[in-house]
Amino acid sequence: MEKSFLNREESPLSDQDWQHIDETVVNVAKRMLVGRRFLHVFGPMGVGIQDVDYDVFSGTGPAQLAVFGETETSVVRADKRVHENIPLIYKDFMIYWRDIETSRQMGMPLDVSAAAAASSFVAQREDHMIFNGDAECGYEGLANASGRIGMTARDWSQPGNGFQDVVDGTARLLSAGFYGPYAVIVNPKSYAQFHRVYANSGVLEINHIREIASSGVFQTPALGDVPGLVVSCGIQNFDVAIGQDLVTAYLGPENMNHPFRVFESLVLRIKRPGAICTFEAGRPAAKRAS
Amino acid sequence: MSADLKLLRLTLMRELETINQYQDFAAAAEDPAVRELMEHLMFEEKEHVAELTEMLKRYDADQLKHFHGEHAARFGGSGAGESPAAAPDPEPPAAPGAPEAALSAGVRGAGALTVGSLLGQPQP
Repeated sequence: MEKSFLNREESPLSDQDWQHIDETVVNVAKRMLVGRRFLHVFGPMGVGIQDVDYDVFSGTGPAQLAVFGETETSVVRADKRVHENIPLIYKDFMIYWRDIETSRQMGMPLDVSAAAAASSFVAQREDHMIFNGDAECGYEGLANASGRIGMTARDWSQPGNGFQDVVDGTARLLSAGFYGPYAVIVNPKSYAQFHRVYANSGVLEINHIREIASSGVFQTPALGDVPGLVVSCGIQNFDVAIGQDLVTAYLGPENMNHPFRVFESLVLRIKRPGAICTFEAGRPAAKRAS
Repeated sequence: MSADLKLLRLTLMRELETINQYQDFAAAAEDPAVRELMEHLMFEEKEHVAELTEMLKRYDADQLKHFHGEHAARFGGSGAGESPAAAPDPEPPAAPGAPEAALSAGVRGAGALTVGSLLGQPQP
């Protein structure tokens, strides 16, 4: 049998144990991940794919209207082609040999809490990269992409201001040619503030926002102090390119114990940064999209 | 062959075709809500396939024998004297012109369960 890079054949775990780990790792990540709820996924392309190309578009003019079709029109062209390395995101965990033996002898299911914890760390890191990029590796995220629209947020502690900012943000995106559907992503503090009755409507502020954000309203701690952002969804604007989706590998025995690695390889591809409008505390530092 | 057995086989065939159709529809849907509905319908059809397969086993003793025979065991099924999980999942043959399948083939026994897209799914 061909040996897999996951090295599972060498592990002391049974197929049932592996199934238990796989289900736990995937379910934990599914509950936590935010970016994949509004971004399209491209791939998985395969674990051997280490880089991916994509085109960045901006500043195209409107379509031409003419009777004979001889009027010049600007062509939709890519501004630049980006060649992006696909990084690995990973977290290791350990299962102790004595626990495995206890499970065998007592007929008890193996405790896979450590796998669940590792999966949660990987999921957090994935969302952190999607929203903030990674300065050290040269990746930009949705919240700090060059060319995004930046708006100074009103004081969202006052009811209605968050909704008004979302209205203004989507209006800015619409005027720039990004027709939605829109998704709103905010930090947990802002999300909590949205759960107040808006004016005299008897309706929560977040429900008013959901009327505009048909792709969803999400909260993530990955945004840190950035109150939130609104994006116009679609693969023409951004997606997540996946080489290897979340999976668990066996690293080989270590002092009789058994280390494992939960990992994935993916990168955010921002094709049209103008489809992002960030609400920022204080003065916005972003360049406006052309 | 009894009329019921023939009906079961025909219905099973239809259900499997419908799963493929719903899968295609889900992939083509632009609205996440429509995609979610298509996926939901697809999952329901899979339940029907499971029900029909169980019923088929009752009506077709020869078929039942094959579910537990060496042919099923080759693909991870419950062969004679072998638990269903004892046999490793075989690597599916890579279709011609399908490089992604070939690239993913190294993930033996771990390809089926994955996170994938969560598009349109609400936050818990």
